[in-house]
Amino acid sequence: MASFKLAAAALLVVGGCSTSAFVGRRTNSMIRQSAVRTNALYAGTGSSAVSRRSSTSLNMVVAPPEVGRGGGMFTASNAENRRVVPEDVRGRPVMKIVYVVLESQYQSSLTAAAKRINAGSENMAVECVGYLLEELRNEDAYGQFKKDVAEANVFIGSLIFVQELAEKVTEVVAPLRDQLDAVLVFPSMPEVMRLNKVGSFTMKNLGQSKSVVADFMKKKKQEDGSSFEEGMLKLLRTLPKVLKFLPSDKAADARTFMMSFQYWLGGSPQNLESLLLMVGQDYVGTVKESMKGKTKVVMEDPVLLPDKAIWHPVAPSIVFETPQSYFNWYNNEHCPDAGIDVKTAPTIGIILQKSHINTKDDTHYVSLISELESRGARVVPIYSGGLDFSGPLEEYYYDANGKPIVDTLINLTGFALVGGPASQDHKKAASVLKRLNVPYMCAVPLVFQSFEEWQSSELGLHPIQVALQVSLPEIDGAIEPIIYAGREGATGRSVPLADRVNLLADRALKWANLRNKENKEKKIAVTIFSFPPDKGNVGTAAYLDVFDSIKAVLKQLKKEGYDIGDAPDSKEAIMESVLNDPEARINSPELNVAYRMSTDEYYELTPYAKDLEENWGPAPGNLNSDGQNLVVYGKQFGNVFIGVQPSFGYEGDPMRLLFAKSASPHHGFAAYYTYLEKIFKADAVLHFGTHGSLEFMPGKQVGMSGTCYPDRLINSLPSAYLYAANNPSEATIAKRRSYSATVSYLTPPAENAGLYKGLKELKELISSYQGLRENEGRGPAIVNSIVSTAWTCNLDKDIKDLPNLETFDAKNVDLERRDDICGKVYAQIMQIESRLLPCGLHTVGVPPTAEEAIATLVNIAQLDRPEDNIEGIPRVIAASVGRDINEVYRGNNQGVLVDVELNEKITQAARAAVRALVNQSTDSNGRVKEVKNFFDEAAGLFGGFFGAKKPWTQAIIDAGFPAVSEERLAPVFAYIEFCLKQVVANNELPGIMELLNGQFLMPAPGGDPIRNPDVLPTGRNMHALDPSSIPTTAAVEVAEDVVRKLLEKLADENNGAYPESIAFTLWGTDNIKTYGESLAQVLALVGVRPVSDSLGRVNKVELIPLEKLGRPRVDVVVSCSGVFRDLFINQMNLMDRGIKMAAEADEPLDQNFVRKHAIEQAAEFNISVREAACRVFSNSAGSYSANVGLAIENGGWEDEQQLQEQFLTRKGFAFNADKPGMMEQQADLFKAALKKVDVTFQNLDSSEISITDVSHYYDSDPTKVVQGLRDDKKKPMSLMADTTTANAQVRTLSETVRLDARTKLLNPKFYEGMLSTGYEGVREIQKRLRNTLGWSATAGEVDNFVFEDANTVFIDDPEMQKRLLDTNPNAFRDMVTTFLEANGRGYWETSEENIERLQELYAEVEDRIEGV
Amino acid sequence: MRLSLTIIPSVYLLAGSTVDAFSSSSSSSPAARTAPPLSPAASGLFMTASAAAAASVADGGLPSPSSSESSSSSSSSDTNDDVPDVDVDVEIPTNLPSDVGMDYVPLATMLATGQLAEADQFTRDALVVLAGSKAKGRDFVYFTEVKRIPSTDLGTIERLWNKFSNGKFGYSVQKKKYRQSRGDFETFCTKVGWNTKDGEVERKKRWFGASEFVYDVRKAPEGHLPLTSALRGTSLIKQLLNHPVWDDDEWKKEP
Repeated sequence: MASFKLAAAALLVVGGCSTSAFVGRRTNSMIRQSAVRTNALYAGTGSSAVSRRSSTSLNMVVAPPEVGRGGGMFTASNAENRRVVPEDVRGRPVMKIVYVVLESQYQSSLTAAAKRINAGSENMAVECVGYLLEELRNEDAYGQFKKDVAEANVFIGSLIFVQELAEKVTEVVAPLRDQLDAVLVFPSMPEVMRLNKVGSFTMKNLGQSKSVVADFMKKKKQEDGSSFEEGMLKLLRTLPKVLKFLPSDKAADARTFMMSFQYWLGGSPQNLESLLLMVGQDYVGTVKESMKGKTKVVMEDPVLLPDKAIWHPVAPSIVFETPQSYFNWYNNEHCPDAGIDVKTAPTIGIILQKSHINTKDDTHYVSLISELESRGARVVPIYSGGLDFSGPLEEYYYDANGKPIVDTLINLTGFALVGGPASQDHKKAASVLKRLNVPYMCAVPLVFQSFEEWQSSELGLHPIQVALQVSLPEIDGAIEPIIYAGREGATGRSVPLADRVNLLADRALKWANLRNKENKEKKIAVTIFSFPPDKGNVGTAAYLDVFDSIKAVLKQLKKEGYDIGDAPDSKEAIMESVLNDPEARINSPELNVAYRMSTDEYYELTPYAKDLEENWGPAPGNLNSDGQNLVVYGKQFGNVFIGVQPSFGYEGDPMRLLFAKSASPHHGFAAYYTYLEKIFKADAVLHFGTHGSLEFMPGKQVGMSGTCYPDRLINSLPSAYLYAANNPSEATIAKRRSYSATVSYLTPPAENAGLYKGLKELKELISSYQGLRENEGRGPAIVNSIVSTAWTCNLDKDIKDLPNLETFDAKNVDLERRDDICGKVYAQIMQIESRLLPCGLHTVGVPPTAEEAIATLVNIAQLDRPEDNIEGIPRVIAASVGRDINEVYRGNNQGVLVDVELNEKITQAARAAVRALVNQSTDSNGRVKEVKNFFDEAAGLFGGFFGAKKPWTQAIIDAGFPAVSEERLAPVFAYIEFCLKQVVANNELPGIMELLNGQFLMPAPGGDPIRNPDVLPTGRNMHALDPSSIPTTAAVEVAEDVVRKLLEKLADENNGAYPESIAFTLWGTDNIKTYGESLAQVLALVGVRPVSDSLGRVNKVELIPLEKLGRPRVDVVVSCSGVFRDLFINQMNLMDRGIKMAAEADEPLDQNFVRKHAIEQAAEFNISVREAACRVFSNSAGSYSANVGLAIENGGWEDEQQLQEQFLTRKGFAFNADKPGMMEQQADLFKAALKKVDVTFQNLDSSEISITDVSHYYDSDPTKVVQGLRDDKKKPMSLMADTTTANAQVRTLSETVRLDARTKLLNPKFYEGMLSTGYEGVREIQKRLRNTLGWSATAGEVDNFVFEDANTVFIDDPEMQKRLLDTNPNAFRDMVTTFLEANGRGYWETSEENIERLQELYAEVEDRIEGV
Repeated sequence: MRLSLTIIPSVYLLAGSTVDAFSSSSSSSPAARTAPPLSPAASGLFMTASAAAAASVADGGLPSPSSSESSSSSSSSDTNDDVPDVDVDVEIPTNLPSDVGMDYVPLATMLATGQLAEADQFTRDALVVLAGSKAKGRDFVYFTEVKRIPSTDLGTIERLWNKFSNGKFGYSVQKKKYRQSRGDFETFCTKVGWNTKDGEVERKKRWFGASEFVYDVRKAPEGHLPLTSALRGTSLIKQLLNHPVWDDDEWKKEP
């Protein structure tokens, strides 16, 4: 930890490109591979480079930079490119210098300094060779480095903070330290710092004894990160001044070191020249020798820039330290000259990195500034010497009256605003940014790749940079991670990417425009979606009542002065206006046409249109087309356009669904965005709900280039994207790939699913049984009723030993068995009852009522939060009767009647207690107006009143737990009181308006509000987490526990034999919410454990020895969602390395199934075991999903074979830690691995997104695929882990499908709730039915009764039928189709009568829709 | 005047530091090369040679590629088979007006003798002087300074490029190409050959290191030269192509 703190200090001091932290996360084998690849590259060119060097008369050779082919993740630059050899020694002694730096900016400065000396110095010449830290991973380069140091006089190192590289440097330099004339190491790891040697000055004791510096740092540690940094900066600045006045020789040496450091910080060629000359004449033997008798050269003082300042490329002075001096020149001289109108011009704040200014490696900065100024904008570019930019931001971006002077802020450093990569303070950053209240863009310069490498990479931005320069700034609230500059391969110079810089300038100004344009002039495009593309689905969004929400937004827009024309004030009317084309026949399938774009206009305005022809032929094609023109659907009201985003266009096309890589958008899709930007001329687009297809269009994963489709489509349009708060992973894709600022919205209030029909009867029967169980007369009779009702409810599927209805009579069994039967039935129905069910749909800006908040709060209160010292309510209550809650859960799950009863009683008590708290704060309308701070009040009253319990304690006592401890309850109630405030806060409309008005929207994590109540309040810009932090230690512990239970259960059921291989599906959101539990499960199965470094970053895995593991290593096949791949590629690497490690472990094959299978596959394919141990799969880069969901939603699939082929083709891209830059199609290995699978497994992480709510879960379910591939054609067991409640469970897939059907599709509470929202509600019901069919198709795990009961509810009942038909005829038709399809495909057996009715209904609905 | 090619100092081949190939960045300033500004053409020529030879340090300490390399790879290796015949006499115009006393004979000579890389560098360096950037201690033209470049001088430079490339090179040609690209800089770069393809990926030709540009009248695409840097934004070239001198055809008239 100490070394880290030192690192942090150093980073800020140099104020430089503090990329140390990145490198630290680069993993060993990735590195090894890069070394191999680099070697290979240089094998061909190396000799010629050398010969060229010797033959040229000039002192510098630049070979064309090598581009790392295929990978794009690693740099292939070479130290030889920057070797400086004196052209003409002229008899001068030659000082040989070897340097190792992290920051490539220093490379050009040092080269220039060496050349200046060679050209100008009388006393010495310099031979100089430098290495970028990364390059030492290459074995050849390392060998050359050794040779170079052995011949060197002086070694210079800087920012060497990567442990393994620090070791490499020390290994070489330490033994040669004595023969070196001087060693200068600037901030680095302590062991490297200890190499320092300047005469008598050393740092041998660094980090080993107490020192002033260490103490100082310790003290500062307690304060917040930024002031610590600033303090360090001051300390290092004052030290040299003090040293100047110290007289002794020792001090002179120390002074030399400090002066060197100052020159180094100055960074310019002049400063570095002084540094080299000074060290040469004072310490290098040969130079000293030749200078005997000559007077020493007096060095110029280091030229240092102020710590923070305003900088402008054409300003007469280098920097301005006060805003006054800057604006004096800028407004009075520069702007008039540049034709910028000071009074009206938008002003863009730009944050720069000081080291680029020091080293004059600044063309990428100049580029953006000139693009902005040429567009008529003012700029205020600032830098800071440290990594806390909040200080200069506060100092330079306000006028004398404290009013912000910038309209948009662009951070060009790519780092988090406070603390850079070292130790961020996101809270401080967000609050500083909120005070400034302007859009905050964080653009990214390529550091780990040359721009050629980025450009040719399908992954795009290097994953380590994604972690540091995309993920971390997002937590500050930054938007639009646009790559704007790259490191030039040969010279290390930063060069701008012209098209990206232009885009960045355009976008920044469009955001500024939202601030400056009057609301009534602003044009807003509201984009709604249609999935699958069908009229019944227009306006689809997860859990959102889209048209009602649009109504709310329109109202708010009007209130704030936007022109909404004659927009109707009714949800239905708005919907009608978009859905129906008044000119077409009544009820035509055609939507309202807003614009017809001729193909000429389309080609004229859409620069990339030609590129779409490869996939779609010439425009207009037949999607969103009338044969001649491209058609834009939607409706305009005043300055607001409500448009329907076209669909992917290949949903129903089996050929295209099967393509391994996704097709480009079609012409209609492109025309839609062309229309928004260039014809309607939107000032901003508001994407309405989770989610559309823009961000899933092909392109790089992160770090778009100008040929990526999300980038081309959105182009310069600012985008706000309403996104469900529980889906941070896909929201992150929208933020990164389509440059959208998200506004989170709440999922509908959850309620307990409750019981209905037979299930409700069962509950009543059990209650009577509880009172009469020992009554030999009534007891058995009740049990008989329970058994028969349980059969009616199909519970026999869930309770294995439910007695046979024909033969069973409870009279014949004892009390114990009767209790056992009742306990099991009870446990089943309580599981259904307590399941959380999001009720209805959410309307933007309508927070839940207090009553509606209760279920959510109860669930929040259920969990223990040891990190906050909060015990869950159930634990406290259980403790009051001397029970441990986990024991109660265990008994409950086994159907032990007393435990089921106790669990139920505890649940009821907890609900009552939470309701008691909520009731305190509810007004007469049942709304929470202001949360009264009862907890504080209560605290004040403690000990005051005797016996006067708080209402919630009283509620628990009343519920039958008199001994409950009020004191132990206090923390959890304080916590839920806080949560209540958050749940009911209404931030969504204000959040949308903040974006449309060009303000800064506060960031917030996304996720499950129950696990992480920080998700609330909604209406904020959602972010994921720091990907290098997962899996956390806690997640690893939980995962190991789950895996142990899972394997025990499986072994139990299989005569003690463990499964040999388990197929896993990994989701982005799941891993965000659980901090990596599921990926940790994969590691646990294989028997490897993640190891984190001192920064808590997970970048290594180690094998758990077999004896410690106590069971065989279980093989895995990991299928990662495309979103997981985008967010967590480093974790894919971690898993792959763990699996390969296991495969290569020399262990008995019956104890290591990974190895066993890998050996077999190696023989089969004639490859190495390592290559065969390929188990981590996903889509090809830039593609998402198996398209199975699309096929099923659309109904356009031939047979299951097609679905399985789609799965295998699209998901069969392997991640390989040995070739980490690419996803490689490995269908054969994928199949070979899948055919070994005994069990398929998925995690279910939240109650709002369950397995029939979305298509994702079955989309990637391989159950039937595995069955088809297995030699014995046996269907693998399918399991689902459910961690949505405190009482986590592993269930079979069919159990889970039943549970989901019972809580949703078949539950009146659910479908009535949905129906109450109207049009969208019918679609939501249909969606559940369709997704249920999906499980039949991919896993065959849907019981007949599910379809049968659904048919009874929705079709049999004429009244229901009519309601559905009237509310959304299109969705109802789909419903009828789904039933017919389920029967036709053999998933549902039913009576002829039912089928005939469905067929008749189909014809009837069809006629109705066609308006016949 | 008629010059025999033998007097063209070969130093030029070695010395023009085409470091920052896109920007006029070299510290070997045209002022130095052509100093004294009002000197007669012939002496200017020789001054230029020596001044250029002395110049070596690159912009901002940029590790300079050997210009000998870049020019040899362009002027010799690329053009080896069609180097202009050295014995042929070439006519070099001498009436090269400048509002500020700039000497364009070196440029004319370079162009006349096919030393396109050097002519290209000279042109960029000249703009730095003409725009007044040099006087402010800067090695590059900021787009706002383009308006200070005298039409006379820009016309002279353009006529030379046009003449010796048979109308293939010059800003006016680029302006046409830019218009054909509908003002899209990327399309423009593709048209004039400033982009290149690495397999599937289109990228800018390298601004540093061994030059990838085509210093050959026959092989280069129309409008390929002179190069203007996009290294500090595209606004510079946009301004240049927007200079009032192109508003009419006056500049075409030989003085």
